[in-house]
Amino acid sequence: MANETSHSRFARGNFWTWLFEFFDHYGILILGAFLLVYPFLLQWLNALIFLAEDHDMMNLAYFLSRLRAFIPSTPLMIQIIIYAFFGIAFNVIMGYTGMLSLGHAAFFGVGGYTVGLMHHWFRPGSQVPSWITNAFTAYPLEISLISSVVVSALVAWTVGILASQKRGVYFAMLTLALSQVFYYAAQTFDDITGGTDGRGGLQNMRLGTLDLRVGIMDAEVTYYFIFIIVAISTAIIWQILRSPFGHVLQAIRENERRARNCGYDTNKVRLLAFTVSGVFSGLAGALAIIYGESVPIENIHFVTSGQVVIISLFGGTGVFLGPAAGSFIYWYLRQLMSTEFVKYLAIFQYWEMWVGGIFILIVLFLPQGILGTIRSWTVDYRTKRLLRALGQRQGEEVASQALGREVGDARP
Amino acid sequence: MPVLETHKLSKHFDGLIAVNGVDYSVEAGELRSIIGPNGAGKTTFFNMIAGDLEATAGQVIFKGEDITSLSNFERSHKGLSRTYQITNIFPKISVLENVRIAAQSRKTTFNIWSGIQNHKELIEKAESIIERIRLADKRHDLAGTLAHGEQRYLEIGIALATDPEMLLLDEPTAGMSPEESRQTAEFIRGLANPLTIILVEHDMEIVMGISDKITVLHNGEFLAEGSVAEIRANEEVRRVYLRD
Repeated sequence: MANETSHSRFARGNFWTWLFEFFDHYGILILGAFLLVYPFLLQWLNALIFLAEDHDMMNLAYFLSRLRAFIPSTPLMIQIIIYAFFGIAFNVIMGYTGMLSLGHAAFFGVGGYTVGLMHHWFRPGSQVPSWITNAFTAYPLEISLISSVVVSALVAWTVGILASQKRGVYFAMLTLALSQVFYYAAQTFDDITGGTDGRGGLQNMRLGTLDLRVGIMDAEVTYYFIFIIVAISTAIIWQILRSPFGHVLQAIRENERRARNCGYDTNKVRLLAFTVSGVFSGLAGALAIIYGESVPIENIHFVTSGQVVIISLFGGTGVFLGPAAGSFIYWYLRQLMSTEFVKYLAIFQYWEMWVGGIFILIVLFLPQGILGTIRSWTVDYRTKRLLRALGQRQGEEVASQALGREVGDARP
Repeated sequence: MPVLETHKLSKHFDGLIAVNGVDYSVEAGELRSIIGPNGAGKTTFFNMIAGDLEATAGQVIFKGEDITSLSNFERSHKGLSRTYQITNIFPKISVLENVRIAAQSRKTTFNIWSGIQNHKELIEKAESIIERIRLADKRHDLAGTLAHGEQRYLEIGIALATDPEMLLLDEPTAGMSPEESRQTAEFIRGLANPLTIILVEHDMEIVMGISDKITVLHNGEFLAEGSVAEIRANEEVRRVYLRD
């Protein structure tokens, strides 16, 4: 985002410079295209395995099926995409505005509970008026997703009003405390929320307008449904961050006092940023329960708040796609340890320990996160090349002047 | 009619009286300086004018309007702009963006549906300001990587980008070499009229060199006011301040 002017600075160079620049500008589109075809790639791999078996190439089939074990399945990709989205929404305030919230599970959970409870309350045969259940049965996901956005907006606005006046540790502690209010509410009012069991067995996860059944029965359809919503929402977040408003956020992160003196009502801006982040986090939470067709209470627990902080720091909060990389690393490692590595070494069943260890290493040695570190390497590389190119040209000019010759027009 | 007036402006910090009932008035286009020994309450007085500190008592009148209860960002929109004693810029943002974001505050805060590239007039305005503060060839550098003197200029640039009518400069030459200080003084002199400028400065050479009028504060109270020659000649000022 900060590199919009880089074309003029890094216009020429070698292959690597070009490649880095290309990824800087189009990385998100490449990632999107890859995710769009991902289920097909998996299907082709499966087809290839069958083909190999049919032709009695057992070694190849074995090799491919071992390979498949290391490739994230579609349900895992659903999880990764949702948490990538959650992380990107979280990073609006963490990375771009410089507000560390430890209570984002509240929005994630409230979004999920809204969808879950609506499915639970408005099922056919419940006590609510029949026109409500009829409308809801016709358009269950449309109504509940929009409601979850509205509810999480209200919740984020309320929490924001209470918390965003504070800065730093006080802000973090306030968001943590306020989010725990929601957790204990979910736990205490168990006749409504299902208590510690959460709300399971939700039926009719369906998109009424397209008559599309999503949910646990069909991972591919759910994948695409979630992918499209995440892609659109991520595009909206991207637009917000590149807008004048988004740049005010970064100014506040850099120096709030200066931003105030420039004439920005920073409390209002912070509140709005917090709400935007909360709304998209709520939407992520709503999407997170679709595949499982149940709302686990963990989604509103502060461990989830911690997860999104870890995910964002893994990938790097300074880069737009940082949390996406973080989400992939987090869930992929977790899955790999608990299903594959554990076959060889039992200690890998304690995946939290390993992920925690990696987290410590990243914070200690790669404080910009993995994507952030790669980014700064490539920027360094490009700057060095640019300087070298400039130096060379100056040197040549000096040399050519000494020879009494004009520098030729052929030089670009 | 004066642009800025203060009536009996006071600030108490838990019993410590930092500024005590100062009456002050500035005409449009003037370049004014406030001097005084350490602890005289110069910066506190300054902060109350800019809105960074709330006054305990008294009034601040700007262009005939009572702005005492307005916060600093509201005063910025009225046309007051300030710099700080300790450099206060956006360090990890490019020089151009530092100035552009300040200029943007006059146009829009909550616009989320366009890109910053769509607001060409803001970029042009920022370009013309960084031209004025002589940082044009460093426009893409991160502000934090600039030399100290350049950062001081950048801060003035940020303040100018908000189209102020009055500029409050808190020790603009702090930490500069004598040569840099002299250039900066000339630069500030060039800004005055149409701009009205109030300067807090330790460097007496600069104060005496460029001010239209000097105000002396001592122990939070108004001590003397007058032209450079008058202040030089003032016995009381010599006693408390210009001891040499």
